[in-house]
Amino acid sequence: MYFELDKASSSYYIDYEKETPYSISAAPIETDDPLELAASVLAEFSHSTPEEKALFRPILEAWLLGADEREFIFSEEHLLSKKAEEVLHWVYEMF
Amino acid sequence: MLTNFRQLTQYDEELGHKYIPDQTACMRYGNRSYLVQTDKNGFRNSGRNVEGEVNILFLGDSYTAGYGVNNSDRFTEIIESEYDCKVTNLAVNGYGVDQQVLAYKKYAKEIEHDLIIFMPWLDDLTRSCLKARMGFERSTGRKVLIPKPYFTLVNGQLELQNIPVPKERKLYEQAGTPGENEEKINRTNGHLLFPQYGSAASPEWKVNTPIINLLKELKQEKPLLILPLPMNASVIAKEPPVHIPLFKQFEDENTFVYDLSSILQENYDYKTESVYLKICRHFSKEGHQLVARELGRILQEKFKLKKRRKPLKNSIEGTCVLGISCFYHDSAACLIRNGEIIAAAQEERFTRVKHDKSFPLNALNYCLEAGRISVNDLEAIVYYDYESWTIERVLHNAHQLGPDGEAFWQLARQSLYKKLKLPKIIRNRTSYTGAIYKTQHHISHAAGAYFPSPFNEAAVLIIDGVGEHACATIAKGHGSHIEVLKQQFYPHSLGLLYSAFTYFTGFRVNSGEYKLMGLAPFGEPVYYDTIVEHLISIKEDGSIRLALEYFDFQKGEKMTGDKFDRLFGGPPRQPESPITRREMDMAASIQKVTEEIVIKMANHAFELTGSDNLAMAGGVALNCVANGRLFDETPFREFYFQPAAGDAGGALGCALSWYYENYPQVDKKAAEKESVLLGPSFSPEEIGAFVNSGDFPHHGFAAGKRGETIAQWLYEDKVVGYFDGRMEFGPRALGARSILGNPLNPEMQSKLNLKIKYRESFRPFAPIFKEERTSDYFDFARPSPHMLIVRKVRESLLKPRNEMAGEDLISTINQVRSEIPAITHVDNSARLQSVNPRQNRRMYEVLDQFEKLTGKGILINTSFNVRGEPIVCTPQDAYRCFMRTEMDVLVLGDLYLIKEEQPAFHEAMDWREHFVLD
Repeated sequence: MYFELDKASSSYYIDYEKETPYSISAAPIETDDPLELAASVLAEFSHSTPEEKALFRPILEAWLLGADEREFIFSEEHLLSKKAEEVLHWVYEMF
Repeated sequence: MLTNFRQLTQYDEELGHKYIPDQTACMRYGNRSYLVQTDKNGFRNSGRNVEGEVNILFLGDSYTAGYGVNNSDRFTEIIESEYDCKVTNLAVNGYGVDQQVLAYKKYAKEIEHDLIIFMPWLDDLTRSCLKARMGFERSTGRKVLIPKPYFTLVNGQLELQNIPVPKERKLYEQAGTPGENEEKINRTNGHLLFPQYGSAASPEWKVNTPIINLLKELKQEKPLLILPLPMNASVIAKEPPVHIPLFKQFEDENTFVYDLSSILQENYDYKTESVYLKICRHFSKEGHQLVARELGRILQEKFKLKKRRKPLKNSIEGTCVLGISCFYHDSAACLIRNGEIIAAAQEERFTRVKHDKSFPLNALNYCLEAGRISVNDLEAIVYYDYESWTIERVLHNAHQLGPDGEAFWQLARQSLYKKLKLPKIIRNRTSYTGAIYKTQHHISHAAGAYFPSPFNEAAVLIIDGVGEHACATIAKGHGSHIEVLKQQFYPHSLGLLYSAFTYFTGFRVNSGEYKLMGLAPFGEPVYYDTIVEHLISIKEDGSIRLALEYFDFQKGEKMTGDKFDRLFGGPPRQPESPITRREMDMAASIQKVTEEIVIKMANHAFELTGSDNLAMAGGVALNCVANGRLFDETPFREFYFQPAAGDAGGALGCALSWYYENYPQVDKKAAEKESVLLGPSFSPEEIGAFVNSGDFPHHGFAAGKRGETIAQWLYEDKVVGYFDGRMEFGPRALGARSILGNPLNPEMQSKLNLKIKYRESFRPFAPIFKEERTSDYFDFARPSPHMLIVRKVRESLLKPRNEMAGEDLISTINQVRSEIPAITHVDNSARLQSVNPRQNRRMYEVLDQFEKLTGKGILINTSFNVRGEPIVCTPQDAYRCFMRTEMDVLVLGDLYLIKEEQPAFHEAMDWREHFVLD
């Protein structure tokens, strides 16, 4: 648990151990299946023990099963119906 | 209100409007954007160096101009790519048939062409009957009528009216003349069918028949192909093309009419964009391909046009990578090509929302525009953070809180979900189909610090609030590689500690930290011992451990807890309430602690790397007082502070990190960048279009007198809004979007604070000065081009302290402390920005001329905004800010505007209520 620091230690720094490239693909989280997404997120955890991962799995799954993306994923139909004035602006914005 | 920061069209006295010449703009519409490039005449031609056997000239409106699609995706350029021809497109959004013919009359003689393809949309016949067209005024968002030229029939002869086209735009709702209201009627009935286009007796045909005959007359013997474009509703309803017989009247030996109705009707599918864009019903990319196929068939058949052996390709040079940061604070986007930084900008500049954290669609589109590419030309989009690690940290945090953890998790997970869905949001907002990557937060910062630095090897020090887990990172950069050595993990964060004091002293977290730094010199560090005894344990290597029981940031609702209040004798200061001695002393104390930790960390980075060079980033690297001490108190010889050290710079760093991990053979020199002028610039044509559209009185500088004129105003104590060239990337205005003042005037600081910036009176102003004068004015002899170093004003310039002055804040501020009083802070320090001619020639000229007048090559340079407002981005933002404040002169590139000459400025709401105070 990384919140715990040893006061007696001469340093509070942690050594960095590089196991993968710094830049990784986001493809594993590009899924609409909440359980698959939870598994992908969990697979990327790097500072948790197997026990902690087991603890976090149901929390993640419950969260993602109940999450709603409609607040920020817009359909063009939405734009047509809800933002008609804005569409007009796009077309007729002039000087 | 506005959807695009670029103004695309401008007033034209003969045509009503046309595109701004030589423009590249990535225009937004719906969930997408499209790339517009215009030529020197103000038409949408890409300027490809193409040769062809036949030169074709197109006339039309937005369907032919290609509203909603890239230049290269339009049927006109597809034809040019696939057939042995060169195309010139004279179509413009919103043109009636009359304007199309007038455009031909004005420009065709200077354009080589063998064939004219005239493609009026049927609505353009109606436009020919109108004196004005509806549009949205960019400066106000109001619906207005934009005057246009039009023809009347007098004794059967065409007479051109409205020339020169009036500039005045009437409000749409108030316009009363019949000709203008017809536009309104036509719009509201836009989805009805249109019998008038099939009736020779209709007003439309009465006016347009002679206009089209005029076109035939003007073109002389050249072949003319007429392809009328039916109304969308007619295509959807699969109506017979009743207009075609009337167009057929124009046919002769070299005038031909073809009908596209059936091909459009056959291919139309309401579920897809097989013909039209869903939002605005202009041709989709597929629609353009369809028209190109049909048109190509006609051209082959009728005009024996040959296909090219190989279609021309719009090749994109190099590997383009886009980095983005968002959903925390200071969203931004950055484009690199082959490792070189091409463009970068913060989203707040476009949305006008300070520290905007939303998806940086505007910044992204600007980057594409700067690279002259479309989103799917990108090799990769890279995000600056591992969202999965942040989720992991939040879960650990919630778990550690025990029963309170659930509430924290509920609070945090909403924003986490958005981060998790970022790839989908990218695709949703941009139609991007390529690869998406992510880079660790501190690696993004480290790459942003190291790769643009001039070093081939360096110690890299990153300190901020928190990335995913890390709050501080020590790394080593060498060649094209970065190697992380040590990290300090959450929650033991120097950045969060500083933010806790920012919060407690009544300023906004992630925004007000620099105010706390500015307040520190007013206080004494009387709480230093309290902080190091109770709040934090500091090791010799700079690593820290916070006493978490004093802080509430782990619970997510506020930064400090009750125990913190008790330690400092009461609750936090309420924002905007008077600043007391306690806040000043707390600021001085935490600043002293911070400086000591930063110095220890830097010294440890030196021990670990052995490098003479230090590159820094992360929000704490914006603490320029701490930065200033590093020069004297660490063994490093050379320093580089990433100018966009905060999260915005993560956009730059993640793109560089990805690139050099995937292309390690590329020399790091490609990424080295001294300049932070990476944002949009506005051409003289675009600035001219802005002032002309608004009819704002303006002047050009006398030849060779620009610097001298501006310097004279400043010498006369005028305050000058200075807008020139590309916008800065990062939080500082560095002479591209700046307000300039005379630093020799002791009253200038309070004048600027109270009448221009409308901000707290204690806030200091920074100087901008000629680089070679640095050591004449300050205890420093190095360049400081990014305003990230605080040093003392040279002792010889200081004035004796007035012991009779009061101890209150105002008395302290008003003391004259040096010969350059307006930039000398209470502790005789200043935040330095040096300029040399290579970095900003025109600003250097102003400084040089000011030196000739005063003997001092130094000015006040403060960001071009008012309190709570993002720095201005566009000429329009600059004008608005100019008119809202008591600035005297506005410089817009090569033009200037005098306040007294401007028309009265009215706004619907008080702008002070619009900006959230920081």
